[in-house]
Amino acid sequence: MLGKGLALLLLALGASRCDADLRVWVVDKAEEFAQGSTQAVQVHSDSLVILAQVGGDENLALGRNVVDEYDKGVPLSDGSIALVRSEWISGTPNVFDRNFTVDLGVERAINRVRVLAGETAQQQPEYFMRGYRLETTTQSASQVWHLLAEEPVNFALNVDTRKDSTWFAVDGQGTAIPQIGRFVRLTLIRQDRSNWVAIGEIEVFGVGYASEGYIEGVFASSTPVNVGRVRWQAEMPPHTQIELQLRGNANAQEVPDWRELDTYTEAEFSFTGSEPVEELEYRARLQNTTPFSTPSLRRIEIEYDPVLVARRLLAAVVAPDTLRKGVATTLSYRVEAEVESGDYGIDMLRLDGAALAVEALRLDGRDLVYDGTLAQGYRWETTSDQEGTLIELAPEERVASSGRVEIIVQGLFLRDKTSVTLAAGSREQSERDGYINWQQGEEAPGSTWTVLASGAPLRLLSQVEVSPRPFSPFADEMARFGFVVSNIEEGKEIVLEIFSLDGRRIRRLAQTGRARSYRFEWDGRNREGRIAAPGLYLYEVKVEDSGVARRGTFVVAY
Amino acid sequence: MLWRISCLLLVGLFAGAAPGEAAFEITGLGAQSTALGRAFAAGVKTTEAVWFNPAGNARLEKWRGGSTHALLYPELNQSPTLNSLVVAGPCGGGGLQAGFSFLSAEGWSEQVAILGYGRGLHPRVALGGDLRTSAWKADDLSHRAWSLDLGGTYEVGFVHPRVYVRLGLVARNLTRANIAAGNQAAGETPRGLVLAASIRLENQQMLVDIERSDGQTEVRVGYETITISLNGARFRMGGSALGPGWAGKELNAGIGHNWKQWHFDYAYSHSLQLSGLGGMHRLSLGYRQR
Repeated sequence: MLGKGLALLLLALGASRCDADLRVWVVDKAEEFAQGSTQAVQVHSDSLVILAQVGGDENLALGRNVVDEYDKGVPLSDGSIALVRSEWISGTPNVFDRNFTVDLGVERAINRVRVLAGETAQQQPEYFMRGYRLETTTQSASQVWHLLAEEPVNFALNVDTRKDSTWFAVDGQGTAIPQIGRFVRLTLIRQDRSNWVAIGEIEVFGVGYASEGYIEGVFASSTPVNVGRVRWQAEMPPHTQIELQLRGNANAQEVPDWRELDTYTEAEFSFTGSEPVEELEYRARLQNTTPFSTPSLRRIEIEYDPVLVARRLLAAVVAPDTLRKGVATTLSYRVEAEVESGDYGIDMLRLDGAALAVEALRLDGRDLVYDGTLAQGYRWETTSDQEGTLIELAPEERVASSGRVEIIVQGLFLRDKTSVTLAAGSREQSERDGYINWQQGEEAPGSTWTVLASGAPLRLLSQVEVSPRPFSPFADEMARFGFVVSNIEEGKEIVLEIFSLDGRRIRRLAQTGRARSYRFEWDGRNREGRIAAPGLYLYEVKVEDSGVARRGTFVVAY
Repeated sequence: MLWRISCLLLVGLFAGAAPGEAAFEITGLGAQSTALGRAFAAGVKTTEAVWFNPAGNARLEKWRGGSTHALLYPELNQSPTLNSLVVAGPCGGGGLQAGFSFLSAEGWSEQVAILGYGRGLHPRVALGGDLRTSAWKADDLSHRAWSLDLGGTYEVGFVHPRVYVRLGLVARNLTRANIAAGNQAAGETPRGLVLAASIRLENQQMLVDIERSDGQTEVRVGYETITISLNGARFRMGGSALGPGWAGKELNAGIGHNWKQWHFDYAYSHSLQLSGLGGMHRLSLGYRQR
């Protein structure tokens, strides 16, 4: 299931025990890294994973985008010079100043370019380029191109700057000095009136590190585990980056494609895939944007708990058939929990993906009592970003054996599809490990935790609710501006600006997000940090690039 | 023409403002002074001088009065409204002036009352002082504060056969009025010093105020031209900028006309930082004793 060629790192033997239950998978030795599968990276002898050096004969342009001067794609980087299909033929003798630009994707240290004649020219040699110029630049719209090679009077069918000795910058021994560039441009600088030109391929060669590579490996356990915090150490000089991805084999589900998984660039994060897992595969992707720099991956450390919160957590949403966008709707969120005697059991639940208000909670059909003190029943609150809901059960309501939890929630759904994911936690686990190791649930077979909404919200931006009114920076903690942004799938900047009555902006607050409810808090201070004087103030809430804004007044009084 | 273009360029150059906030900032201003970018500390013999320089009406010969109605940000659901009334006239060898202004909005109201007196001490020099009280009310909170302004004007005279110059100097808010009901330090309004100039070239006038207050400098510029061919219609424009950074933005424009003893003025203020609310409209009506 987990990819042929991947080495299995049975690291449980070497795992350190942080405390009674928490264990750690670690990979930080050259031989451990070396067992993983790699592409375009190399494991250095001092236990560092770095990008591999580019081979001198590796065509950096292969598969890259090539366009002509009209930005029209041409097949000059497909590895073929096949007749018509994979070549460019001028169609006219007027080829002077025609040009083709290869985008290498990132900056490379280029020391050689080959231009292969198309198959048409191979068969009819008079189709060769009469004169050419090769240049490079680092910016797509640059007006400054640096000369790589030039031959105003060319007779060669295939151009190779190494063999033809046309490279512009050479050292004392005549060796080509690499030139940094991302774009390589071939320009035809001579024509004659009798012949067309057929070009088959532009090949670019360079030195330095590969622009991208990855290393993969697998951590395994003999029993299902709940994955917790992940840490990794690396050195990332400017213009380099490392991303880490993780995927488990929870409940023998089909392993998701890497492209569908979240990437992490933080040095510490919590695993968010389905759990529990017996194998956890990692992929560390190393990248650079300049050819002489490489990131170095030193260590990956993954905490896991062999004691589970639950054996299995299956979740499903039961929503009305006609759920309309922007209309508060009550729905049922059902969780089937398989809990065994050795498990922690469930006394915390987290629903992520939408702002939900819990109206009722049932355990095996029995209604629990809402109790803010948690002496009995349950309590709940939304997360700080209002995209999630945290539910806590009183100790005596802990789910210690298999059962069904039904959560009746009210939500405002603003997108076509909203996935409400589930995670369960345990206070006992939290106390033992020092943090909540949320165990992720999964969609129940044949059901879904995705809420579908149709129609269109009445407006992109709801009315803004300001509280308290009037606001005192001394008596009240914050002035709160609450509103809902609808129908935005991509992250946009949502801005709150506060103005004095004469129209002068005194504070600007911004958040980036999609369609959801927002709450901005203003501490009553201007941008210099001084408390605003009593008076009537104006606010403006707007969504970037939408032209939509809400404006109103509020009072500061003290 | 060059003079006009220069004036317009100057206005554009200084059009802008940076943060500055407090109640009473716009209370009381009339259409004429607003159209001129609130650069009015060297303006004289007009009821609107009441709000800018207590020496501005020191040489009045006749009584005059005026009222202003302002609509602020008409795009708001409940736009604030502003009304003011001013009277000024000769008294005891000088000029007496009184004004009252009232701003009303949802959950907030504020009033400013002012009483000032100015007197000419020399053919070129006039001095004056005013006492103003500012009050606000919001729900069950209210507060009143008192402040004192002193000001003077100096008639430089004709510096050129066609150019007449007057200077003004005002020390504002000498009592550092505190507008916080709980007298918190944040409610204390700073003192200000205004240096002003009025430059008149035949039927054109340019006004400049430079105010230093609370470590910040505000520059206000206004320009007015009287168009004889349009029966004396007055076209005005102005702008203001508050340093450092000159980051704020406000432009003003307006028209005015005198008919017998009556004056009609209109002004529009546009904050470039807050562009979607429709700005502020002011309409003033004035009467001058024959």
